[in-house]
Amino acid sequence: MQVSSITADSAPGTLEAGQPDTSRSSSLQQQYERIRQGVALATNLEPGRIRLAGPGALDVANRLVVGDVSRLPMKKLMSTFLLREDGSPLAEVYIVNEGDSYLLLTDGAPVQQVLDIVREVAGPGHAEVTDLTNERSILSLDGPFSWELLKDLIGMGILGTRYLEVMTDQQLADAPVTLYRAGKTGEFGYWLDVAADQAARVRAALLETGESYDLGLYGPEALAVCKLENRFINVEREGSLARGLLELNCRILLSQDKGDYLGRQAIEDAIAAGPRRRLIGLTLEARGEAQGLPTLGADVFHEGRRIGHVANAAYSYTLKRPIAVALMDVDYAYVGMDYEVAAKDGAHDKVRTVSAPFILNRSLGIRVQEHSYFDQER
Amino acid sequence: MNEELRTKIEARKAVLSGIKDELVERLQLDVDPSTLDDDTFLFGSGLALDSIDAMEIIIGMQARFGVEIPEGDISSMRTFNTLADLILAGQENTPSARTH
Repeated sequence: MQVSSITADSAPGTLEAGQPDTSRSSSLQQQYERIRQGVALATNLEPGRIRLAGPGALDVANRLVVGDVSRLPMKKLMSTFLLREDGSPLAEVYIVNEGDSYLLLTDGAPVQQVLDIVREVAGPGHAEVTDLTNERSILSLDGPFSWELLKDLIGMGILGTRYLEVMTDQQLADAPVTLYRAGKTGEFGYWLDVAADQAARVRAALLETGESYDLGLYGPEALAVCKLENRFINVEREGSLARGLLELNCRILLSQDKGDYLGRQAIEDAIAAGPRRRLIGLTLEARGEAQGLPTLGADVFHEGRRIGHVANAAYSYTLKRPIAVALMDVDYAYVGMDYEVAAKDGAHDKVRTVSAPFILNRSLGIRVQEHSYFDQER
Repeated sequence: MNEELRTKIEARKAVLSGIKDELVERLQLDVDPSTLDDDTFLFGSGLALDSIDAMEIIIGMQARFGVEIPEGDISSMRTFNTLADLILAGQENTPSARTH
């Protein structure tokens, strides 16, 4: 079996020379199916990597993100957000408690922009800020059987690693690797943190072992579809259209009892006033992959009254129909309602508001002690 | 908003409110139920409940709404909204089920 490559336009810089079969290209659907059914390796996931060290590291970390970092145990990650002062999300952040330091893995905003904010918050002498973005690489392995491939390479320990846990001191292809049980596809996901100059070797080992798993590569568009299906907030899409985090159903991520953080005043003002809009899932009638996908910003209507607009949309290969999220007037933002969305041709297509996530991930039915990619009849 | 839509939304709001009240009370969560978003994940990075809590959810939904969550029905226990989907579907089939 051969490793699938993906087209250059969807994921630049795929396989290195000498890797198995770079000739076959895979469509978005093929990339998606490797994530949802097998194992897939991200081609160009390059989060910002910023380390905070020193006695003030915890305080600085807490002032940067909305979650309460003081409650984050060692060797655990927290999924949180860095906000702008107006309360809108600037970046998705995994923050890692490394014991004597905190590592910020940031996505959705230019690293330099985040770094400037981190340095400003840290100020002189509060915490040592180090940009590791060019020194380290993250390889993201995702899919319902990604754990099994890693088990072949680093051993049984991977099976006991729970969501948002860190595995330190691992070796893969003779390179030191730290594993984060993370990812934003809704399937089993592992981020492998490796020195940049050793990443090609680790990647080659994953590809070689991955051949028997039909390992595929996936690009940012496949990841965006998976994020939407699982309702992970995409700060570059719905996040960029929201006036604040409250509109994105993320109130549970806000810490009410910690000190100040970026955007806190705006968040508290929004809580006091109550959100005017709320993000809600929509499914559209099945009209094929190319048809029926609403444009971003398309209006949502009820009996001719505009009640919201589409904030993200994609074709769901699992549901075989277009899906979307819309920022809707809170009075209408309830599941199980039938509305209409403005189509490209000016007509109004029927939509139904639905619960999130949109799909039931295959990984939820996988038991790592019982299942195997090579025995899928079970 | 027409009357039909208003009625439908009010029915859903009542069920969602009942679910949140039940889970906060039963699981002794330190949170105001009215601040919980309908799409909050019950497990993982949301409320971070565990498998023991899952049993309490099943018992709570049976006690409050008379709705049985089938064993292994992972999809119904992902968010407050997915629980509400199950309960409202059950109420459509059993009109006498309680919604308080």
